[in-house]
Parts: sequence; structure tokens; C-alpha cells
Amino acid sequence: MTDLVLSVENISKTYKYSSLGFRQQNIFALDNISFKLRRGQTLAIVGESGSGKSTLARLLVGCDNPTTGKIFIEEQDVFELSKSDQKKQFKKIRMVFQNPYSSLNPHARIGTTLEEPLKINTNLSSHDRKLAVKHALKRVGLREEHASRFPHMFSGGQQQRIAIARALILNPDVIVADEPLSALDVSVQAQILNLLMDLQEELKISYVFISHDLGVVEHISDQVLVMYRGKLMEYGEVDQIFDHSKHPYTRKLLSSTPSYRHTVNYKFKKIDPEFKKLANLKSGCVFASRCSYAEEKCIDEVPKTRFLKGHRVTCHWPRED
Amino acid sequence: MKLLHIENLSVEFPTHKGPVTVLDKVSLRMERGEVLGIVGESGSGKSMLALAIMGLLAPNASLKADYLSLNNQDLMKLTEEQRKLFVAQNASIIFQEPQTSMNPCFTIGRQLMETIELHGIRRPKKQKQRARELLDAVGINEPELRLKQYPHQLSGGMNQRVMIAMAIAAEPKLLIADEPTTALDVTIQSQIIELLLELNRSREMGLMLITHDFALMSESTQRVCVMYSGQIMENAPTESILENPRHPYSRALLDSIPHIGERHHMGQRLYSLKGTIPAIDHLPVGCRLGPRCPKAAKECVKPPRLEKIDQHGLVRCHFPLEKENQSEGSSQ
Repeated sequence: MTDLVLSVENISKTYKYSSLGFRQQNIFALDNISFKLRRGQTLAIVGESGSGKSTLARLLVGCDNPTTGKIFIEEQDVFELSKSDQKKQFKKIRMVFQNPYSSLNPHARIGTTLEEPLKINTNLSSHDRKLAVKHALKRVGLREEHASRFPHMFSGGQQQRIAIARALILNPDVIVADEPLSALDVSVQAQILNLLMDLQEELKISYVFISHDLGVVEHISDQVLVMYRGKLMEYGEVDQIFDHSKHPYTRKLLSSTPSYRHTVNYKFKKIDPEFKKLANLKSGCVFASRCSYAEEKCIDEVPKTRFLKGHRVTCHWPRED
Repeated sequence: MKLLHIENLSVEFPTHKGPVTVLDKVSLRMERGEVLGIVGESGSGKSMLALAIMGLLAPNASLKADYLSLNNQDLMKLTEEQRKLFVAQNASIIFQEPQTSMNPCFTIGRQLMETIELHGIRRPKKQKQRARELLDAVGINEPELRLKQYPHQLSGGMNQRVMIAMAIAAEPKLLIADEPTTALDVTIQSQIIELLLELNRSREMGLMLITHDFALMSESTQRVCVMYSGQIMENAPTESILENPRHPYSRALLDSIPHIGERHHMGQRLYSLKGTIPAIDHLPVGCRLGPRCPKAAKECVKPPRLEKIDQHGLVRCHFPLEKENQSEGSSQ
């Protein structure tokens, strides 16, 4: 067992798209994303909608293959393996979705839903499977008898617990949680967040936690990766990102969030609309048209990701103040 | 001058098990130009309150109120038709998802002009000019182009701006925003809230902001009503609630949000209420928070009344929290 459970190197995903007989276009959903995740740690992925967070999640659990790039699960390059071995490797990464109700089969009893991954992936006997289901239910704070109920008999928070139990049942190393709290009420959000943190302490699971709620991200994560339009903008330890963010986009996100606006106190200039138009036409930095620090160079040249004091920033003019 | 004055507003729905009360004797007042926040979990009746004020309740709902006045006009004394007209001229509402509140088959311009026509501008040329002005007022660039576009051609934030433009077409005295930013990204969210506050200042328009996001509430509102399963639990100035909530439910809501600077490696856990909000037809006896309340005692089987606490506001609890000096015990 190694400490490094998941590492992703220069992963990109391009979708081909053509509308009504027009020429085929490529859409760069993900562009050169790399990160490393250690055992028992949490990597948060933040960004607005359309920034490729969910595409990344799909690639991590093996729902889709990247166009280029490598995924290492426990230091094993998964795309060098045969299809069946690949499947075995991806078994170590499980997913929890945003809307618990639509991710559970309404016709199946909870027990059946939870048993299914065991049926597919293991050789356990029926009796052992039932035991595992009971165990998983208890672990997420539900009772054994809940196994015979249907999803609609549970509240949203309980449904999310069931989804977490389903992710846990194969003893994964990593759980990819795609906005697991956004369909829940605040008081229930806190319950699920606490459950996730308890499970992490107990089982040493790692999380890839996708969220747009910076408050939650600050609370749960060890590292934060900020994305915009499929590109990595900033990546570093949580303290670095929240206390010393260097990328204008991260700063913009922080100062748009009501609870951080007064603590961070970043200044933004108004953006010249002419410059905005120009930036939209040319293919420089993807953030140039919304960036209040952008200059000529930003609209002509794509910035490279550089290392600055243990944190990675994709910007021509990383902020120092 | 009171903009909105509600005394003991109740809304009931008939079900096969008998009538169910979804709003239970809600009373509140809003001054002209005030920004009032309404917070609570889903199912607490926030949206129902908005719909009741707007007269948009489903036809099988029954509304009772001792007094319900908007802009100094007693709505209960008007006939159905008069009431519709009066409310339309004095109040508007915007909803959570802008895409679903607009008709996808018609252009922005047509939908906007339809609203403008209803409010008395007949000549198409004038309508169009007014539409352009409105789009300008909500900060949409190239209004001429937008008027010809369909809702799906605009982004979520733009659509919400168009909704706001429609809402302010009649120069309402009250704008109800029901979770206006939940479906939008954070950067857009702050723009929309800024726009709403700007309109509130420049037009002296009362704003009722319904949300479940306490952080959002904290910086934009003057007063906050905390609702829980159809009742108002606490009604006080925003500052007092944030610093010193007196109702255990408000406290719990505040504590269940991660605080700034509380990080994972410090091993802290959030405070969370047990269980979930009760179904409206299975309410607990007495205080509705009872089974989930950390402070519940024997007396809580009797329903508490909304009572005044000096230098704070109204609180519905038998054992309101004491005033504390500084945020002690804010997290477990």
C-alpha cells in the first residue's frame, strides 16, 4: 500500500461536436489537468458551472476515457492494463452524485441497490453480501431494517447517506463526490459533511470533493484545485489558496462569496468593454475577458502553469500582494 | 408608512386526511424601502408566504388573515379582480430558475413588451423604448439585440436580469425575490444581489429576499424572519440575529454553516440538528422544533407563542437563548 492513491497527469478531454451539418468542432472540456491525491486527504475542485468539474469526475471513475493523459491508481497506470484489470483498478474509486433521489433506482429496495456492486465485483455469498449491506448502512448512520425500504421513503439527507453507503460498500480508496451537498438543506448539509469527515478519519478514505461552495471547501479540504473552462487556474494547499491566492480568478471567486467578501478585500478594476471583445476573439488566457488585471500579453499568449512557493498558478501576472 | 402589513395570515390546503395548515398565523411588517430576509429550510413555508402575498396560491388553497395590507390598501376588502390588479401594480416576484419562468417560444422583447402593455403603455413604439430602458436599468448590454433573442440564447444570469426587468416594469413598491440566485454561479450571484440592492436604493422599492443562505442574508438585509414548518420562529434586526440569535433554531442554522478559517486539519465538526424538518401533516405536539431541539424540555409540548424580547425582536420559544458576550459555544 502506497501513500499516493490517485494521481492524474496532464489529462485532457476533447468532445467532438457538430451541429446541423456544420463543420465538426472540438470542444476542450478538460485541458492538461494534473494533481496528486494522498491517502486520507481531500482534494476539492472548485469552479463555476461549465468549468469541467463533472467531466473530470467522470474520467476519474472510469465512466469515460481521457483523450490524452494518464491516470495512476496506487501508482499503477490504468491505461496500460487490460480492460478487465482496468475495471479492477477503477473499483477503488467510487462516486457520489449531486441529486441523491435521481441516483437511486426508485423500483429497487435499498438492500438490492447496495448489494448490486458486490454482485458485480466480488464473489461473496448471498449471506455475506447481506451482512456487508447491514454493515454499510450502520456505518452511515442508518438502521438495518432500512434495507427493505424504497428510496422514496427516505428524506433527501437519508438518501444521500444511502448513496454514500453504496460508494463505501466496495471499500474504495477514493470517493469522488460531485456536489454532494447542493441538493440538501443547510442543517442536513452539516450532517452529511460531518459524516464524510468521520468516515475519512475512520477508514482513511480520500475524497475528490467537487463543490462551488467555498465555505464548505475551506472546511473539508486539504488541497484545492481551481478550474475555469477546463483549465487549471490554481492548485495548492488549502491555506495557500484561501490566505494567499495568486490567481485573479480565485480572488474573484473568493470575493464573490458573501462570507469571504469582507475578509479577503481584494480590489478589482473595471474591465474595458473593448478589451473584453478583443479578448473573446483571440485565444490567449481563457480568463482574460473577465480578468481585471489582464494586459496585452494575456490575449495573445496562453499562460503556462508555473510553480510558485508550493502552489501552481496558470497566469502571466500572478498577484503578489 | 407601512409597505406590507400582515396579521395572522394562515393558509390551508384540503387533503383527504382533512385540512393541512402550511402557514400558521404569520405576522410581519415591512417599511417602505426596507430589505427583509426570510430564511428557513425547504418546507418551512417561505415560498408559500410569497405566493400568498402575491395572490398566486393554488385555487384549492384557503387563505385567512386578520389583516393583510399592501401599500396601505387592505387587500382582504377588495374583490378578487380588484385585488389581482392592485397587487400586479404594486408588487412583483422573481423566482429561482429564470429559464423556467420564461416562455421559451417567445423572444425576450415580446415577453417584456407584453408585461409593459399590461401596465398601460399601448403604443408599440413606446413599449419598445420602455423595454430598452428596462434592460438598460438591469445592466444588460446591447439591449437592441437581446430583445430579438430567445431565453435559451441567454445565460442564466442574463435571464435572471430579464426577469428582474419584467418585475420592475410596473415600478412596484415591493419586489419579492424567491431564492433569486440559487441556480446561478457565485460570481453571477453577487452581481444579481448587487443589482437588486441597487434597485432597492434608487427606486425606494421594498425587497423581500427569500433564501436559505445566511451569508447572503447577512450582508444585504436589515431584518430577518426565520421560518420553520410554517411558523415564524424569530423576527429581529439582521445584526442582532447574526450576533446573538435567541431561538435555538436560528442558532443551529448559523452554526451549521462552516465558519471562515475553520479548516479540516483542525479536526473540527459542524454543529448539526438531528433529523429533518417534519412533514406538514405529521407535526409534533407543541413546539414544532421540539424533537430536534437541543434545549427541549417538558414545557415544549405546549405550543410556544411569538413573544417580544427587549432590544432584540420576536422569538417563539419557551426557553430563548441568553444574550452572550461573544460567540461562545458557537461550535462544538
